[in-house]
Amino acid sequence: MKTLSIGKSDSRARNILVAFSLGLVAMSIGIALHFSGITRFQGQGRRLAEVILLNTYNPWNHTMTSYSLNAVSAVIWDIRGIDTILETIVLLASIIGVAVLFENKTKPSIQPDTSPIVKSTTKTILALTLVIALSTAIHGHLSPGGGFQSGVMMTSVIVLTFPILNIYAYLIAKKEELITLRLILLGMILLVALIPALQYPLTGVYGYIMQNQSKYDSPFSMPSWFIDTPTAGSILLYNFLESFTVFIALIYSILLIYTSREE
Amino acid sequence: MEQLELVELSYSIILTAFVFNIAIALYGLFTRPSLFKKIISLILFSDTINIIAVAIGFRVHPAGSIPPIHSEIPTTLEELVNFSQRSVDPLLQAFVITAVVIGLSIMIFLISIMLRYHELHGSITIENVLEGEKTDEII
Repeated sequence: MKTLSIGKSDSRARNILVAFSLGLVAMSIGIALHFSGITRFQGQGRRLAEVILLNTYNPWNHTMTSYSLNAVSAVIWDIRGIDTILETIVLLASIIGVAVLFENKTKPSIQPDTSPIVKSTTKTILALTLVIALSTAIHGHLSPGGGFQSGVMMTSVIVLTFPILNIYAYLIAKKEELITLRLILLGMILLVALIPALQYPLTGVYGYIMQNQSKYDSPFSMPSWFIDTPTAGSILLYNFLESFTVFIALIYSILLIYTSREE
Repeated sequence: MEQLELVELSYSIILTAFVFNIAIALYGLFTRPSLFKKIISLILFSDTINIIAVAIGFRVHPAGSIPPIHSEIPTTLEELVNFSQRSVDPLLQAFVITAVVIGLSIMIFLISIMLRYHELHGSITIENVLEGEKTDEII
């Protein structure tokens, strides 16, 4: 009886055919892209991009601006903020999935045994990187960076210290608390989103959910300046909270995967 | 050849290279039996798409293109208009950040599934796993 398994020569012929077809498709798309005009630069940019760039920091247009010097942060947390909150929820769904897959794996790691010089150097680098990561989050609306980038930086540096410092054992012992903290941070992000609507009974000023600066029919606005620095209203808060949200999500997943490999 | 034409030509070459990169990623996804290699191909595929998205947002300005970030607080409306005309598209960069986070969530979950798969079947190669399942059915 003929089996479903494919012989080696058949498999090789199939691979060559797939490679040839994909090469042909790639070449066709490349030629199409060139002749479609996508690579021909116009002096004018896209209209939507220009509107966003004009209003990301525009003190002459109070109802459209975000007071963010970084246009990407303004897009992420103000212009399409609900999308970003849902993206954070997707990350939460993902780590819940990981938690379900590795739920019974709590074996603690072996204590790292490294020299005091390596340990103290690592601690210094860890502290410096954490400060830079925090500044990336807090300055997310003023310079390149933001909450996600900061969270990834924090996770990377902490994971890299696992073989040297005793952070892994500490974090694995606090595994459950990490998930609780992650939920609290997500709740805080949602609370910041709801502040404009929740303040109505106190101040009597209407506000929309996720409203950052005043709109034509709502004078409510989040604080846009701190002494002489723009804070971009809620964008500063979102970036700060998002950095820890991403950090906890990633560190939790890596902890579980790391434990799984040890066993 | 004018400078703009040179930029357009190099841009076409880079875009074509990206499309070939997609083809290589799809080849890995379709033909490699190892789940790990499939995941690497998927990462390559999504990263290439992200780079293409950022590249599409690029534009040339006679005074030079700039990133979508004000280097100083604008004091006049002219500065603001100049910034909006010279800066590259911020919308696509924002889309890419979202795509990266969603991609990361999916990758974390896929890698976890792969590890569990390895624990259960002792292999991450699809053919070995299918053969194992066939043997189990016969038994």
